[in-house]
Amino acid sequence: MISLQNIEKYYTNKFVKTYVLRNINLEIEEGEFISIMGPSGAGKSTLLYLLGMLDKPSDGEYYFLDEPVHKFNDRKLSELHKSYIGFVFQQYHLIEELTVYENLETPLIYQKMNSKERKARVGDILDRFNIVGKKDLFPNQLSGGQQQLVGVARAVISEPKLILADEPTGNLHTDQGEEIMKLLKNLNEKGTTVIQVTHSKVNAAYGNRIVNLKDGWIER
Amino acid sequence: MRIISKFYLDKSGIGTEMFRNNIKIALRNLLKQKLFSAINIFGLAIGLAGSLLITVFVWNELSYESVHENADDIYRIAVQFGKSDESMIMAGAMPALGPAAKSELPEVEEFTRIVLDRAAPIILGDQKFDEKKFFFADGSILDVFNIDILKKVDNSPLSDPFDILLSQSIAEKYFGEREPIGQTLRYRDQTLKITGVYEDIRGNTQIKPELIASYKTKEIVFPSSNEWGNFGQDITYLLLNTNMSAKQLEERLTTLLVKNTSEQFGEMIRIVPEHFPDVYLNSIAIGDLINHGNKSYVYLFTTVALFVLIIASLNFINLSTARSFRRSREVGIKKVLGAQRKSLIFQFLAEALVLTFIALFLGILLFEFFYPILTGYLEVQIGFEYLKTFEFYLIIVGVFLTVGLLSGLYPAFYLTRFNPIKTVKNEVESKPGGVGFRKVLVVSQFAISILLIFGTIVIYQQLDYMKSYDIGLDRDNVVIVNYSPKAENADIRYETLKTKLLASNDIKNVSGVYTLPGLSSVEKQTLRLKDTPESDQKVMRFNGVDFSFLQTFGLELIAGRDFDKSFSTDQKEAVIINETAVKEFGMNNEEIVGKQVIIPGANNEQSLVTVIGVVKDFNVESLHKGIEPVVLYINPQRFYAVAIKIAPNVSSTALSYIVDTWENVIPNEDFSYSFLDDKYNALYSTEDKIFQVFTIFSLLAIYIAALGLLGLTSFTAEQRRKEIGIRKVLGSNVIGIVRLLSMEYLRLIIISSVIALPFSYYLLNKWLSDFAYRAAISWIPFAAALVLVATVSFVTISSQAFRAASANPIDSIKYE
Ligand SMILES: Nc1ncnc2c1ncn2[C@@H]1O[C@H](COP(=O)(O)OP(=O)(O)O)[C@@H](O)[C@H]1O
Ligand SMILES: [Mg+2]
Repeated sequence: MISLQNIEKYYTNKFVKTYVLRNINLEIEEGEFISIMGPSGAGKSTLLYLLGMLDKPSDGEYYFLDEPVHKFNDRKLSELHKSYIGFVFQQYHLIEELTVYENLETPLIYQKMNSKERKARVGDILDRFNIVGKKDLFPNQLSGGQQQLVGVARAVISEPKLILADEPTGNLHTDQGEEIMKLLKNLNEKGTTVIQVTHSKVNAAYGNRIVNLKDGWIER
Repeated sequence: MRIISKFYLDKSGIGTEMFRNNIKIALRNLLKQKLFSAINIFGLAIGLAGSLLITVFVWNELSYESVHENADDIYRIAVQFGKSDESMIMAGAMPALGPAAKSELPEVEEFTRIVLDRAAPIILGDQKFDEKKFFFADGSILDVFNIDILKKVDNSPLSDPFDILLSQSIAEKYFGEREPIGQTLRYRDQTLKITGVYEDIRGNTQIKPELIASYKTKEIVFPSSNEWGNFGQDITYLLLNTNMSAKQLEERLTTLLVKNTSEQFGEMIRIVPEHFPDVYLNSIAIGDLINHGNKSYVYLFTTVALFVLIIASLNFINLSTARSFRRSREVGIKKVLGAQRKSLIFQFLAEALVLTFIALFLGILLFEFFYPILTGYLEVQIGFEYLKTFEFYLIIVGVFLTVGLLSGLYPAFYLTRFNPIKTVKNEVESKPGGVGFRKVLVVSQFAISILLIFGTIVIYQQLDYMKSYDIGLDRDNVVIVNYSPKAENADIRYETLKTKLLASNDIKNVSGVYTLPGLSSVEKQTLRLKDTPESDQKVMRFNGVDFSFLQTFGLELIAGRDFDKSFSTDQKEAVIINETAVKEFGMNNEEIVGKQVIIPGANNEQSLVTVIGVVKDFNVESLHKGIEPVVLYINPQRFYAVAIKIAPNVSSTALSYIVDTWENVIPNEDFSYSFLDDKYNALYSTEDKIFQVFTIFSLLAIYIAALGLLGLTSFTAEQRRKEIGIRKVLGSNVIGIVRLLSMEYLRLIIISSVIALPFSYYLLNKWLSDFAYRAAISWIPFAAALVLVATVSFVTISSQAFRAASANPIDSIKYE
């Protein structure tokens, strides 16, 4: 599903290149559950956003479903990522001014889904995540765990092939975190590829493979 | 390619969903920051309303005569006697000029002459009316100007003597429902026959007759002795059929004048053609149909309107962009969820335009509400013609697009530029960008506010200065009664009136005058000392007065003697001149007394008079003008007013005595009076209005600026909530925090004042240069403006800063 070949990422600051990712080679099959681990500043988030097509590599090749992503322009990238990829963030990043229902609906609107289908999808997901009662609340009326639940729901609502989660439980209590992890595991079992960044060995164990990142290099 | 093709399948109807979603976010944002939104919208609304109000006034001044289709092809022919720049220009030409121009110049298609009777006594049965807009005019008035006849007897309703047309409202006033045509009126011992009715003339034009009598009637009622020699009465308009400059027309008419009179007469007279649409604002001719407008006030008002609009718009843009920064996260998330930059840019622009639209709509409502109030307050009559003008809508649409786009563009392009990773990684500074831009806006606002307040104070000082200025005569307790010298034996009648008035103890002095000193311009005439060459001719102002003139007006004699009835020569051969006139002759006050002066008259006649006294200088006109040389002589045949000096504190008894005496002596003429000091204050009524408008708008400006500041500081305080919390935990007290938040703005105010000072000083000096007598501009009004702006700002800022500083720090630190 994903093939990274000799990916490099650096930032240029006053003509000095600072490398964040070095010579990354990574193959990911459909249906995998991968945990990226490593110390703070190792480049985990950078890698995740690269995979999510929110950022571009400085060098190297990235194939997603055999498409040469590194050659795509912004428009194509955006189209690709909104159809195939869902994101979950450590800080949830829900839109404050929209209700739970409307937050869930937003990615579907960007995918130009018609309203009838949208309604059905949102209703379905509210059911599945057991948050029907919260649908008219605003994010700041929810607890952190509940917000992240909505965050995951929003990521999966468009039925992406790939879910990217950057420390999804980082801001949560252990039991709340466990619930989210079970949810991701469950999605993975139904066929969705999941890539998460985590600091916790326990959470990493939900995955089938661990990628260790240090100073931008993958440790073997 | 399977994936790619899928992207380009656009299912329609989704755009609106996105739009609805965006509107929801925008509205909830607005409601969440209620104070902020209200300030933002309301500020722009009142700013717009204010500037629209001024715009309508200005437009009214600038669009005079646009009701007349032919306006562009019409010239009004004024006449100047004596060719120096000093000489007065009279609005009226010679009666023969119009007809001659039409018959002898092919370029002149038509002419029409208007003679105004400013106090026309109309008698209808036992009713008496005093009409102020009674015109005599050639029948061509109906062709030259747009006057809509509603009904008439035949095709030339103004062709015969005693024909008269009435405006619709006069016809209704006189006859109600009855048919006016065919009825008659009495006017100055003549019977006029009503031959038609025309629609009331609305809009801004000089040609606003309420009654129009035929020109032939005028020739009978006020016969002119010399059709080519007299001028001043017949306001003459020429309708041209080709384009011609004023200069060219002047040449043709001068040739015509010389041909019909003489080379010498042509030398003495300058013909002054004035383009009809420009007459109202640009003409300086006296004796015109209406009072002229004032160009410099039009500019002044335009500037003020622009300033108010700029302040309000800057505010709006400033607040809108400031607020947008809290939305960078929303933008980032949307991008991650698949929004394209294009749609986000569109979202911000649309949002800004909608918000601007709401503000403008509110502004127009406010305008509609205040419009009648303000026109009533300022006593100006402006209809709703502005609604028909393109410019009015242009301003609104212009403001809409400019403010809407400017307030939307910045967030639209700035916020959507960021890579979404930065925002979702919380890397985008919560500190708003564009701080420099915002500071420039705040500084300009303050500078304009300071300028306007400074202006208000300076105008007030000048007004006060003029009203309390000692013009050299005593204007207290002087009743002015209008007097008509046209009746037979007016001089004898005057003597009777005077004797009877003086019989009362309450009445100290009575003097008839040609023009009132200190109030209006007086005739200019040439004269020279006897035994000096003709080249030493001087131009001075002549005023015909009574023997008691100096005493009545409290004027001080400083050399020679006053007029005295016991000198029989004083009737015709004596003059008193003022100090400035003495200087003009190059003599001193004692030397001049007893000297003889030659005054050239018509037909090469000369009169020889003796200077019997010198009066201390007094102001002849309003203080816009300096003191001029004045010559006083006795002339009871031409009194247009009678000045009555009464004892202090008896005005009501004295007045009733005056009325009784008047009715006794002159029962067939209306009595009207006023007090000299009121008349004097009325001289500055324009300045009064300017002052009122300036006050209103400078208050408005500072109010809007303060609103903006309130919004901005509350915003900054919120932005820095976390910082404030941390500082407090680290031990800062409330005062320290308030200072932290306020200092920045106070510094901006100081910068603004540095910018505003030279600029406002320059502008106000320019305004003051209109006045011959002006109050000095001191640092006090500037300091006052500064203190006012600083105080208002400080109160605004510190109220917000204090609120932020007093909050519990734990709340703000946990937040995020
Ligand atoms: N826009 C940027 N410019 C320069 N350096 C950056 C930028 N974004 C991230 N970095 C650097 O890249 C490195 C990796 O960051 P990141 O991927 O966020 O690490 P982590 O593994 O903690 O998620 C860090 O040292 C960070 O400072
Ligand atoms: Mg990270």
